[in-house]
Amino acid sequence: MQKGIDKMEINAVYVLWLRDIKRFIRAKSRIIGILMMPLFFLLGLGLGLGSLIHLSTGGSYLDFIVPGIIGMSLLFTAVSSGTAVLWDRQFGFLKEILVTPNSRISIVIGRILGGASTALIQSVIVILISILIGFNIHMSPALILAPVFMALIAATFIGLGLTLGSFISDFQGFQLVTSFFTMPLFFLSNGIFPISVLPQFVKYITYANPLTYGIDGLRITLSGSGTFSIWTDLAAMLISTAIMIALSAYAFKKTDVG
Amino acid sequence: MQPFVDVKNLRKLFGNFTAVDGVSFSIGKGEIFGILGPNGAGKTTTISTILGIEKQTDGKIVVDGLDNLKHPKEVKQIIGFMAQETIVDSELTGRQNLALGADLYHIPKSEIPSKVSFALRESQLEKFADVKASNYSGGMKRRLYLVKSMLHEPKLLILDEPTTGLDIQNRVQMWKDIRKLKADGVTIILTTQYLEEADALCDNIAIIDHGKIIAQGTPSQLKKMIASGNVLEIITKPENVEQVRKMLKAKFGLNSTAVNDKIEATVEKSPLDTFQRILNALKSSKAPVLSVSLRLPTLDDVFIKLTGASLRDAEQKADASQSNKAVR
Repeated sequence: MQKGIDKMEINAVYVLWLRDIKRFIRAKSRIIGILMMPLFFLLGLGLGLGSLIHLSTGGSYLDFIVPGIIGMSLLFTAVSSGTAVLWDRQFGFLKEILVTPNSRISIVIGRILGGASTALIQSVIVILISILIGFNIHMSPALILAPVFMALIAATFIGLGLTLGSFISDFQGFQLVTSFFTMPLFFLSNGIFPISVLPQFVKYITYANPLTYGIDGLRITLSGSGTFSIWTDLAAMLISTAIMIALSAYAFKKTDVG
Repeated sequence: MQPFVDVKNLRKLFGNFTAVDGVSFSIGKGEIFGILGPNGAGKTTTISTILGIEKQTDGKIVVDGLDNLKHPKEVKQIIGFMAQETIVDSELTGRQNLALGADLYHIPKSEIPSKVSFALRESQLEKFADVKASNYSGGMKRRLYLVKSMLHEPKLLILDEPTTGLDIQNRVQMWKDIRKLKADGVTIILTTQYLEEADALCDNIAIIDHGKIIAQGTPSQLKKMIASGNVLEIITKPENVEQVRKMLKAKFGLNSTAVNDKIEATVEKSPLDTFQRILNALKSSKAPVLSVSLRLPTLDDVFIKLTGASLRDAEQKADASQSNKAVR
């Protein structure tokens, strides 16, 4: 009996994941919308500002910033997928799932996997566009870890989005609070400049930011050089993912359905 | 015989607020049970605990012999639910919506296509099966939603205000659908604010207010509760209300109630004859009479008798407090 129920839970996770994928494929305007921001950053920062910048570490600024922009787009997409909880609640779909014989944790995991998959597709498109405009992708065995880092960044911040979405019930408040989180998370990371140029106390803040390790991991796997070791990055991202999933599962358990 | 649904001393608190306060009822297999009451009376909370969306603070719920706390998943598997709002994923097609619903109830993969096509036929949506639900009309979405709730062949169907917001045509169709499900042997719980709906559909009704059941029985039992006579209703000008009430008391011994310009009294004996004499008395009293009527009591009269307020008034009060909340 116990085993049967476990199989049912896995089925529920799969079904909810599939729902997110189907919705993603059908909502063409959304796909274009979420590609616009990274595209502008690539053009404005990567090509525009990048032509004025000479990194002390050597290499082109475009090669430096592409992993940062991927990290950014993962962060923004992931956190805003927390809005999906709000929409689900608004349109009753949350109630609709909760009356079915499935546990809330399966619902959370299905959501996180669905969001992570769509964020991953988005990142691959951004990488392809970057290559078109001159990004030199570093070919090495480490490249196979790049999707792992993308998935972990996505999972961490979907967890954040779900946690916020479970506590906040109105849309305007949610927009405000998410930008209150996402802006500092992005600018106080190593996304657009190397940590080495930062004053000491700002460095400490970036060290506490999981996105720093995620982007560093992407930089090692995609561009070939980073600040920390790849294992430090991986460990940091695994820990932050575990913490955020646990937190969002807890928050979701407490959330109001109505 | 053991009832199909047995609810005993159900209580649900949200913080310090008691939403449901010791509700008990039992429902026989194949019955339609109506929960009637104004907004905020505790209807939705009561069904939410049966559905397992909310956990009861206290009390016992048994469905088909299964305790909802000991066997939550088994209980959920035998219940179908249709919420007040139409819950259809408008990004997905009708077919995809049904398949998703079937999957969430763990219907074996091999049975899903045939069940889905049956549901599409049943809801007359075959032609639109592969169209995104955002292109459906309100009535089409509602039909899709009803067949989706029935995909896993639940033995108990819970309908939360199934006809609120529907136009007359769709409401009549929904009543037909509900009666058909009853004929198929499905036990049904429905909540409603409409007295005529409860009257027309339900075998048994519980009237609920402030989280408590204030009356329970068949529609005719409930109507008999408020005297055996007919209801006399007179509408006059507000300044003449007292004059007419005094006349009713003095000449016919009738105790009346008045709200604004409307006077109501219960006529117990030989209603037609008395009605005739009241009409004559009104004529000679020279009070301006806008309308006079004599009718059988309705469930609204039961509600007024029990709570002192008409269901509609209670409704408006609840709505007002809700919109205040929204503004805040």
